Amino acid sequence: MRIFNLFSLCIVFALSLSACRQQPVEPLQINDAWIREAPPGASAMAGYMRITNNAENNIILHSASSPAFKAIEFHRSIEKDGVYKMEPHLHLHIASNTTIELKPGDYHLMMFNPTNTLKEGDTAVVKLFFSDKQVVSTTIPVKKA
Amino acid sequence: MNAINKAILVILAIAVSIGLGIYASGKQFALGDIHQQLKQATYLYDQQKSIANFTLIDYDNNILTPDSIKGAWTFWFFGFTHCPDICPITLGILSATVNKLKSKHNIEDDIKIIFVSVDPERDQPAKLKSYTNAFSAHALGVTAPSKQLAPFLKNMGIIAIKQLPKQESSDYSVDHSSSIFLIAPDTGISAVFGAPHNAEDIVQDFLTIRKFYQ
Repeated sequence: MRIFNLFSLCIVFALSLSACRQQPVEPLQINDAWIREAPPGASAMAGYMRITNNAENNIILHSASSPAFKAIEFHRSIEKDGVYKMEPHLHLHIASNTTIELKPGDYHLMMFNPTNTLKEGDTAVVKLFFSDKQVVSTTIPVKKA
Repeated sequence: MNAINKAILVILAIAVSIGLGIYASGKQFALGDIHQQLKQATYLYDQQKSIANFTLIDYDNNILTPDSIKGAWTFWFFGFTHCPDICPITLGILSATVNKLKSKHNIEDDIKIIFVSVDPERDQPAKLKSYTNAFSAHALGVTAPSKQLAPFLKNMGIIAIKQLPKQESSDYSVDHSSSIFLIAPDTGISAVFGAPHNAEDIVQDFLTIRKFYQ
């Protein structure tokens, strides 16, 4: 009996230790963000990232802004019947416990009129405005593809 | 004519017809073969279609006509410089294609990338130059005033539709055809590569087409 008690105590201790070690999960995670370096004088650049919604509720990405650009919109490149189109999206929906990927040839941040020429190695701070007044500020590096 | 001569003539005639037959069937076999070998491209050269006459203006303000591209293999893509996603991706793929052909496969032929802007309103020659030069030294940016450009696009089967902005950014976009064309050194339209594009497949298809063309 005593051995059993000691054993269960150990288990409780081990469990509480692992619980303490577990990182608190951010409700919103931005990963692998990058901006495609554009030729000099380009009027628009494309930004990519993965956005994970770890929360129990669905969220909406309403808008994005950056001091490095005049305006940022959400666009999706699509190819239909042999024609490339850019489809503007007013906002992006991210369902609970899912990740949306903004990637080349698909959804992307359409970043208009950079205030300065951005080259590989430069960064831009971008603020993402979500539903429930959540704002995530992220520093995005400029890279060659 | 004696019997021996007659016999020689008959044998010769048979030989020639057999030879022609083999040549013709070989040619036919090779044509069927090339279609099967291609990974991404649709081969068009057997339709004997030459590029229609055109007059475009390159990024140095030089006139570009079919004569200017004679002797070189040219990859053609249609787009515009205000396009930050698809056009850089495609020009990157074409640039990688030419680099692979030159350095990995040691192809010494003159190979060029011609980027046709379907947005002459905004894409002035200087802008086209800095844009195309950022991708490849083998890339040439060309365009023409709309009146001149429209018939060329029509002949090539290229669609370009201006889309006015739905948001406040005040920048319009242009929907455009996604195909890449390969024009042979004799200005014959060799192949069309439909999207999505992939540099390694274009490299392999180019090598197949070039082998067949020689």
